[in-house]
Amino acid sequence: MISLPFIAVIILVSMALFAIIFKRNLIKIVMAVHIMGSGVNLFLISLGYTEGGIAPIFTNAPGMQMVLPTPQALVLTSIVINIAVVALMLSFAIAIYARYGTFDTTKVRLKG
Amino acid sequence: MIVTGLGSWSPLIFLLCFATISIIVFFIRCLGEKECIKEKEKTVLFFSGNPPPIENRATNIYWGFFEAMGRYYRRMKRIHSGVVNDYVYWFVFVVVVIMCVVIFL
Amino acid sequence: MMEHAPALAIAIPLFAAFAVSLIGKIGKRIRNMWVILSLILTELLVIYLNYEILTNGIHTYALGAALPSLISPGGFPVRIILEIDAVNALVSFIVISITLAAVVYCWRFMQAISKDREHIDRFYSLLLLFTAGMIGMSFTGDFFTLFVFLELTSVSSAALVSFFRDGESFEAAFKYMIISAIGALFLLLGIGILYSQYGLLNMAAIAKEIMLHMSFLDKVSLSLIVSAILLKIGPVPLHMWKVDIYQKLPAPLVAVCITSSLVGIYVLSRILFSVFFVMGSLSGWIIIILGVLSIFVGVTMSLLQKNLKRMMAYAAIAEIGYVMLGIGTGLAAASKDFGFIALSGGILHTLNDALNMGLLFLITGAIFYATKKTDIRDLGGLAHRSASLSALFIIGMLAVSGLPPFNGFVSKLMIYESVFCLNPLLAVVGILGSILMLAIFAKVFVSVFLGTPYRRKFKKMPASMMAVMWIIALFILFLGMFPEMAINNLVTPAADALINHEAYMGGVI
Repeated sequence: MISLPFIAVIILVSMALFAIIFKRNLIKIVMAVHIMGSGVNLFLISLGYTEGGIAPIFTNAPGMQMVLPTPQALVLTSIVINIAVVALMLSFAIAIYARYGTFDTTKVRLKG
Repeated sequence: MIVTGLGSWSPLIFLLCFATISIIVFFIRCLGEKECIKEKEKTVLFFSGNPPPIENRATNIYWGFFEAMGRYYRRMKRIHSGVVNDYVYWFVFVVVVIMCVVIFL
Repeated sequence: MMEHAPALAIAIPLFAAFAVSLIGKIGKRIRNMWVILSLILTELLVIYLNYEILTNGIHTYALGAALPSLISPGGFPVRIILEIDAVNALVSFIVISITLAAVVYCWRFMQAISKDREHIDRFYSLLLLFTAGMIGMSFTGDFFTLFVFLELTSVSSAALVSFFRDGESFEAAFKYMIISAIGALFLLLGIGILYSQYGLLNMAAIAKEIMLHMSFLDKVSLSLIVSAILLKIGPVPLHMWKVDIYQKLPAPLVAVCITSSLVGIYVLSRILFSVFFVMGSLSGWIIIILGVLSIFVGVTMSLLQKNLKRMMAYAAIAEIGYVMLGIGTGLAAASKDFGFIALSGGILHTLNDALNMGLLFLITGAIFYATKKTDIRDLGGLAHRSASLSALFIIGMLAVSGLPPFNGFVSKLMIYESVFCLNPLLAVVGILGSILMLAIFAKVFVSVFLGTPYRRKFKKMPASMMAVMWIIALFILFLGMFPEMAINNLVTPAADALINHEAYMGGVI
């Protein structure tokens, strides 16, 4: 049986993909990208879990089992990158609103 | 000289042949008429007496090509809509196709 | 110091990017010289690495170890490892050369476009970050470092797209950022699945494990990673963002973005050839079908456009289709003779494509500098005002459509002849694409350069811009007249390194 964090990951990623494909407001698309980032981070963290392990701080665990520390490093990098990406997308959205007057994605001018 | 599996190619031999044939062509051209009468009517397109369907300028050279492949071009212009949601839809489509091909074949 | 060359080649543009803003406050000329100096230094390091790889073989470098060659102290690889063999070296050489040419071109081009000094400071800073990201992506031997450099490249180029701050630039930048962010997240999902199987992130170590047995989860991970990298390359169903951003970038940067697609193709071929071993199976046909679609749709859609850069963007998509056709045939027929020639043709075509399309986009930049217009209906008769520009355009046009004796013909000949052995229909589509590409550029030439002389304002072009374009044109002629030098020295070692996966794994373990 698949454990609970993986079910949560599937729900988050599919909700985010649904929102990106079907919602037409720019801010909702940016929020959906952030949710998808959170889902992928949750997936990476829950990969390192071992039964009965404690936090991976070496001096705290003489003889006890630790959860894997590598995914935690990957997730820290990924959180920082996602913050930068979402900030950039939001500033683009504000600039588009200042020049076009609308947040609708169907009112584009570069097509064909 | 490059030898691929089915043939070979050498740029120097190509240039020699090109130069030789150009000299022969130029020689044949020089045997022709010396004068060329410039008439106004020579540069006008011929539409069997009908009004021209599109303006006579260089950007409309391939007008006939577009009319012949009209259905394909109308459909392609509709697909390239410029909407971000369609871009992500095509991406998810490609992911699903590649997954089906790699896993089941 | 020379043993640290791989790490320095990434670190120098990175450091220079952050120092440009400070140095820009001193003066304009010092800032320009700082940028060009750091790029020349990186180019010398890359040329030294090329020379060393071609004489000594594969080169690995562990970041942050006591000695750079201390890769596997306990029997398995620890730390971030940069692994460079003949393909990496060729791709990074193409990237840094084209970036250097574009920056020398930008020296006078940017002054005409924007008068704000801080704006140009930020432009150079982002360009150096972009270069560092691309070189990092071509040197890496590790999946997670690939993700980090991929995101670095996407973020800096998305900020560069919005250089002219009008509404359309921001719209193109927004679309590009959304697509890149989703692609990178799918890549991270694929990497996570691989990590959960093997507990390793190093490409060569994972290759050794997969060689024994490929399970169901490995196939899922392969499809996710391949789709994410395909999003960076831009073949046909995934090409629409590329057309928008090539329309709104300043012209020399488009030449640099074309090389980023070529780095993406290198990463794709590394993953398919050396890590996942899909040689000789159906996955090669996916790449072939995407390549053929790109050629056909790219070339036919290009005939419709009225904007000069958008038309050339569709032509660039078609050229990427040729490279994918060559590499896909090399994958599908890897054990046979013509598969090797197709792979060599594909790799040579990356070099030729970067040169040809780079020259054509620099010419559009020169036209924009002189007349401030980009619509071909407004232009006409430019040949009377600038004869050398039309000569350069003719060279570029004949090289891109693959006519002898220019360099496009050599790589396209290798691709046509070997793809014909796989399936004749593919070669037919390839030749048709070349003919239509000549048609596109002939139309552009007749509309823009011939006709009654241009009467409106035409600014005279500075010598540095013309010198860069003529140097690239001379390279095109040189590669066309003496193709054996490039093929025997650069391309055949690269194709050997891709097919020979034992050498790739042996460098690390």
